[in-house]
Amino acid sequence: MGKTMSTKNEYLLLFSSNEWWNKLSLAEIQSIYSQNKAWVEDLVAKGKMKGGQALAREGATVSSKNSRVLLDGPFAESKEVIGGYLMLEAESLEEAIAIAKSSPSLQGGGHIEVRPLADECPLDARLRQLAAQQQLATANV
Amino acid sequence: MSTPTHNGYMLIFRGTDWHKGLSPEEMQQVGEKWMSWFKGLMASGKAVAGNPLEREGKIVSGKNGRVVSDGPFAESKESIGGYFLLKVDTMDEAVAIAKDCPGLSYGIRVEVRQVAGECPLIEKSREAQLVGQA
Repeated sequence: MGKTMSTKNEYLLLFSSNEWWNKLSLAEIQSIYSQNKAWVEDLVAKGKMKGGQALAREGATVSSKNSRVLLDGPFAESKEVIGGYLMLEAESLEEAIAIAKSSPSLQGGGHIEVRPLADECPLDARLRQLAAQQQLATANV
Repeated sequence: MSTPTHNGYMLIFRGTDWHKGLSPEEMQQVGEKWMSWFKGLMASGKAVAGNPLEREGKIVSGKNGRVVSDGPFAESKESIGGYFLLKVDTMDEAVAIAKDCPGLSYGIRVEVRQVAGECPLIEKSREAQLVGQA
C-alpha cells in the first residue's frame, strides 16, 4: 500500500479487552502495570519495538447499506474492543506469537491478535492469482 | 466526540471477504481507487501510515498466553484486513475520511478509534533508548 520499506518482518499486535482492570485491586493493577513496563522496555532494548499506542474506548463504525453511509457507536458496555496496538519487528510469526504470549496484560483477561503486515494489497494478490490461473487454463487448451 | 486531540486516530478496516464476487476489472478499479485514496491522505499529511494485514495469524489468550487459536481471518465480517493511522484533529474529520473508503459499498466496515495518547511506557522506553544511542 505504497510503503517504501519492506514489511517482511513486521507484525501487528492488537490488544482486546473489556477493561478487565476494573475488576482488579489497585495492588494487582500496579503489579501488572510495572510488569508491562519491564516487558516493553525489554522489547525496546532488543530493537523489536517499532511503536504502539493505546486507543480510547469511544469509537464509531462507518459502514454502508443500500448506498447509504451509516455511523454506529459507541460500543456496547460488555464488548471486547481493541484497546491498543504494538508494532513489532520479529524474525517470524512464531516469534511474534511468543512475544504476545509473554505479555503481562494477558493475566487480566482479554486477548491479543497477532498479524503479519502484508507487503501487497490483497486485491493485487488476488489479481495475480487469477491471472496465473488464467495462464494455466489457456496453456492446457 | 469532537474534542480536538493531538494524538490522532486509527482506522481499522473490517471484513476480508468483500472482494469475492468482483470481476478482475472491478478489483483493479477498487484497488486503484484505494491506492489513490491512501496516497492522497499521506501526501496531505492526514495519514502517517497504513498497511494491509496478511490473512493469517493467531489469537493469544489466557494466562501465559496458553490458548492460541486461529482467527477468522479469511471469512469473517469482523476480521481485520488493514489499518490507517491518521493525524487529524477531530473525530469528525476521521469519520469523514472513513466515509471515503472505496470498499464501503462492497461491505467493508471502518472502525474509527481515537488514539488515547502514546502509552507513556513506550515513550519513556524510547527516550531511554535514544539516550543510550547518543
